[in-house]
Amino acid sequence: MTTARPDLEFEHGGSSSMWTSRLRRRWMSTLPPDKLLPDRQPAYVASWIYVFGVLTLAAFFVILLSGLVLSFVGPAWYHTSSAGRFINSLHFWSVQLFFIFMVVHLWGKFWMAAWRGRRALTWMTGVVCFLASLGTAFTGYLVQTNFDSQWISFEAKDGLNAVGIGAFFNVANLGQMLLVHACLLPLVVGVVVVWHVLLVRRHGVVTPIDAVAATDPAQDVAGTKVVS
Amino acid sequence: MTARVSGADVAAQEWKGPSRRYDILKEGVVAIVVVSILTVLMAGMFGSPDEPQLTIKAWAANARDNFYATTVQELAGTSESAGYGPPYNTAGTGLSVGPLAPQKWFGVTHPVDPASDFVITPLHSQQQPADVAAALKRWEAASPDRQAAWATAFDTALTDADDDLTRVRAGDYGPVPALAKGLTAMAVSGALDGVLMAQGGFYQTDFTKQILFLGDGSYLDDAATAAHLQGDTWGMMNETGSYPGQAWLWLYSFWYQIPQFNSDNPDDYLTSHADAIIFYIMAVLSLGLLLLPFIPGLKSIPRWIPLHRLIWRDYYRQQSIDTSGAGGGDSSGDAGGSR
Amino acid sequence: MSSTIGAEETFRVATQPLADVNGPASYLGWGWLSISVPNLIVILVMILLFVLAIVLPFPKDRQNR
Repeated sequence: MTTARPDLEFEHGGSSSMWTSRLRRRWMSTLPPDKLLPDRQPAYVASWIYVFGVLTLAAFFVILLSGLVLSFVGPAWYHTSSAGRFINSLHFWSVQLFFIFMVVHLWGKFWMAAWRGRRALTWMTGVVCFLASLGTAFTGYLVQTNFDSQWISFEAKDGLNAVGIGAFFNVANLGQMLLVHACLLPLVVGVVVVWHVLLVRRHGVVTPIDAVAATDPAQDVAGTKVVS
Repeated sequence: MTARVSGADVAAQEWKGPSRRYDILKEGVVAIVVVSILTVLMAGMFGSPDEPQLTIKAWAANARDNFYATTVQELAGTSESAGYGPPYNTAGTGLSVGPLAPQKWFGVTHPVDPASDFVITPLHSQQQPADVAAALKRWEAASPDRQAAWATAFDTALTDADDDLTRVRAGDYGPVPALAKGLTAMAVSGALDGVLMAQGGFYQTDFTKQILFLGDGSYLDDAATAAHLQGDTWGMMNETGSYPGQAWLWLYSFWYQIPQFNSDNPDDYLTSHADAIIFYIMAVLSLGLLLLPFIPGLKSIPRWIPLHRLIWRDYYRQQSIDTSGAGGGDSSGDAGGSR
Repeated sequence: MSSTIGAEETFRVATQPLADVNGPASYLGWGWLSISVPNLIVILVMILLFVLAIVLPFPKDRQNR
């Protein structure tokens, strides 16, 4: 690719000492716009199992939105307000849907052995998302400020204390749990989810097991030289 | 001509084969709309669980004998909190599994002295009737050994009488009965909830003391049993009411159902150390899930049980057409992905 | 009439749950296996979704670029 602008010379030639140029060049070679926002995908991506990733993301979005409202009005509002109760219900059911879709997505990816072809990190970031989501849900249950929270904190303290985690992660401390649930963990989950999705965009959807490489030029729509 | 390259190599390469249209933005928007509608429908139809919080006032009002007996246990040091160990106190050493003893290593980080925090300090925070005030004075003037003797004697007598005050045998219990009576009165009035909440200050968000005290009695425990939330009845997965709970905790909950972790014998090693052992088991299994791509055997299961042949049936069908018809001629595969 | 009922009240009425989901759940059990009906429904839904997802045909790409 050539450029008409001499000031962009460094983009493709020579070695730049500028961090910005180096980062931009690295980004553009790893995740160019047509990988980030593709309008084509491999023909083998033709199964309903593939929609469960985006459904999980959509549920995450609804969780965040309903959670934002709840965080604005505080953890006790929904006990006495019908509108609050409805927003709480949105949050509750979007979480149920989130885990349903995520687990089906996980099953699908397992049976497709989707970690093949240098995609181990995609699998691993997915598992971290899962585990971090478990933690987020757990702290969510703790901050309901109702009987369920009381019981869960009373029981969970034993498991966490037994392995020393209770020394600094106090499930009975509403302030700590609320901030972990509404600030810390959503940030962690958000960052890892973005990383996970970018990895999928970068490596593409995994090929079928025992897939055959297409080397016939007629099969290549991009028009570039294929692997032989 | 279609060359047969190994599947592993193909997976690592950029796909140059047939493709199909894909509108990623549209997919995202449709997903959000569908999920939003589903969520609104379910929220509207079913609401969400919200079982009201238990209070110490309700405990003392509904299970007065148990509240009284628990107060005595706090003074005698026989309650669960009193003997817990880290991170609350040094009454116990905490659980250790082999060389692993993190509960002990991290020590006491949330100090709780049940006799003082749950009974004496709250009693001090309010004007008490003459007999309770006198009992407080007598308690604090006594040596720790004397206090222990009174409280233990009364605790034993009360237990022998099945928590029925009218049937407690006579004995030297010192000021303990009056202290317990005073605290019960405070609890029934609602004052104890407030006092434990404020803990002598103004702002606070730490409910450790309240939950430990509440949990020492039977009121919280009985409510949990009624709601099917006990650990040995898959309670970790359950929710109050008829709502779905945390089905995703099924494997964590599973270990607590195994008789070895669940025996009636408190001295049994596996039962007494269940919390630690099960946590380590789950940590190892989680690590296994994380590192699945590298674990021989496990990573081959999708190949041995070929569900993928269903998922990619169109691709495999086309692939067998291509290879059976190919020979030296043109592939009959479609260009551009149209079928 | 609706002008005399506040927004809060209207919202409350409009969002009354259709089913009484606050009563205790039913449990199915065999020995030490015990599952609440709502949880069982969730798990069955997941299995059903998975099976349908891999079995149902996916729309073909009828248009080319």
